[in-house]
Amino acid sequence: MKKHRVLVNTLLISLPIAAMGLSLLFGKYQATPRDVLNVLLSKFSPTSDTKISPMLEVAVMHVRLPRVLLAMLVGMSLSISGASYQGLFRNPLVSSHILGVASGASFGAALAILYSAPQIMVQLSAFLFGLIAVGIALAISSLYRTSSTLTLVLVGMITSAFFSSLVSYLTYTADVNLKLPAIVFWLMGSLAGASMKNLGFAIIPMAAGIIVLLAIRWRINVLSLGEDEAKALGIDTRRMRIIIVLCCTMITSASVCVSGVIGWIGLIIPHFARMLVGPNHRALLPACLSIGGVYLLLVDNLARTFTSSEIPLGILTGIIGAPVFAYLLTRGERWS
Amino acid sequence: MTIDVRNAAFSYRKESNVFDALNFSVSSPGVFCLLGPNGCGKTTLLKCLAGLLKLRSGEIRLQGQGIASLKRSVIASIIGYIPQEHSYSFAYSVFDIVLMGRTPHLHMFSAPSRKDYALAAECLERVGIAHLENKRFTEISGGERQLVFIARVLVQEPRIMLLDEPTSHLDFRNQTVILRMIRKLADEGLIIIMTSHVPNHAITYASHVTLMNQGRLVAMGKPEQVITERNLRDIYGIDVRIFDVSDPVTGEMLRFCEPLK
Repeated sequence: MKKHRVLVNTLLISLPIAAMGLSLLFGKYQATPRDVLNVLLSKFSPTSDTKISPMLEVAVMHVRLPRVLLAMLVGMSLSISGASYQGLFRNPLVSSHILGVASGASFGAALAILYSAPQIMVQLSAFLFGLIAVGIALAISSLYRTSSTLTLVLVGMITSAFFSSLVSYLTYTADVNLKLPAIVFWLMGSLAGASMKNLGFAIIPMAAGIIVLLAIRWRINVLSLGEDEAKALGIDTRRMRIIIVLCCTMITSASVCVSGVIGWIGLIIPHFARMLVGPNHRALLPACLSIGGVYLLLVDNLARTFTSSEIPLGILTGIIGAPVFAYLLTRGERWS
Repeated sequence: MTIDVRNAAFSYRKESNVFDALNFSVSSPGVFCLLGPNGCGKTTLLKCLAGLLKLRSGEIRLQGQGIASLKRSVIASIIGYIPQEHSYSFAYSVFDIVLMGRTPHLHMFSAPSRKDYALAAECLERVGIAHLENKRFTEISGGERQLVFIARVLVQEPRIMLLDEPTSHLDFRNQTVILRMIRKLADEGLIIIMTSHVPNHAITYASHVTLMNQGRLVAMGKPEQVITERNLRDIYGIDVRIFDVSDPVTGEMLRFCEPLK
């Protein structure tokens, strides 16, 4: 039992580092491990005298590195918020998009693309509408006298459906040659637009949300016992619910705005992590960070290298995610 | 520690009260049993005492302080509550569930410390289920689950323990195991308030019985004063006889009741 835990923990820590290193090697520009290492080292010691071709430097530092880091971050974000929501809603079948973040953000992005806004505005608009959608869900649910988690899920479905319809309307009216492809590509999710600027934009809300979720992760256990029991154990369930929803919304909104809609991660990674480390959120959330990051990174490597043109990430996570999830369910779902 | 109920009334909807004008007070350790037919308001009253439901009027005071004005963590460090039904979505280990009893004593951003782990292990030992600590909650029997919840309340270190029908769904042996455990904890200084459907349990294990019917307290006092043939007929609507017999082996006096044919 102890041995197993040590092994799992070592893997959870070392895998992300190995996967990131490996991913820097993949790409159209041929680069040996030594080349990549040289480029990275030259950043730390600018005086080093190894000659580095500018092409190589661009490929590694400006194309691959931001994309690798962003893939890790988005994967981490979607998985940790999925796991937190599954705990909060006491339901292993909800994902990070349950309260309508994705459809809200999609609407924001589609709207900005329709008005030919620059990329940064598209992202900002996606981020804001992600927050707005969940804000509306929270506001409506507070109108009901019984503000239970069930009400919140139902209201989340309502806002989701509402914004999805708006997105459909925008795609329906969009210019077929100019705007529609951009909107559709965005909706399918991709990290092709990754840059250091993107990374800097997304990392603040993501890191803030992740840190808070990690800090309260032990209490998510208690919350997942149900409203009455959590209250009887001294938890202010209303306040905790708001904190978790705020953090998850900030995180997912930030990831949707840099990567588009990527499904399945927030649903299957927590299940997979639960099989490895058990249901206790104290171990589960860190495990989700590691597994989710690595998983999305590997899928994104496929997306950018498998064919000569980029495959939208959302399509791949769905194609891989569905059978993986089916397999996980046949494993008997020991922990949930 | 005193828990004081003054003029308490509760209703889910405006028209009809679940209970009304309840007055009682508990201040010394013992087993206080709320006995009454289905739907008489026992469970609702217990939830109000735990601070989970708000009274419509009247007041519940803990050591003189209105429970409605107390923070959740303060209530939880005084009162432990074991509901009648549990449905968990995740199969936590027995030890994790017991450890969660430390929540009211922990800061928002902190997790249990080594000391808390030691206390959880000690409480598992105390209720006799230390061997189950690594088992998943979904794998153990109903009787063992009830012991897990009692251990969790002990970890909470409260002064008062509320139990909602702690022996429902339990087999013959486990009912006795749980009730003896409750009795023992009361003897060790805990105030225990529990609901029950079984008059014989109240006769054997309670130090104090309150009969409840249709949202009113009908009688209060020692079991032998309250559990009478007449009172039982009044609230349950069936004829009951009370037997006092002596154990043919030990000579010990026993009392129990049985419905008449």
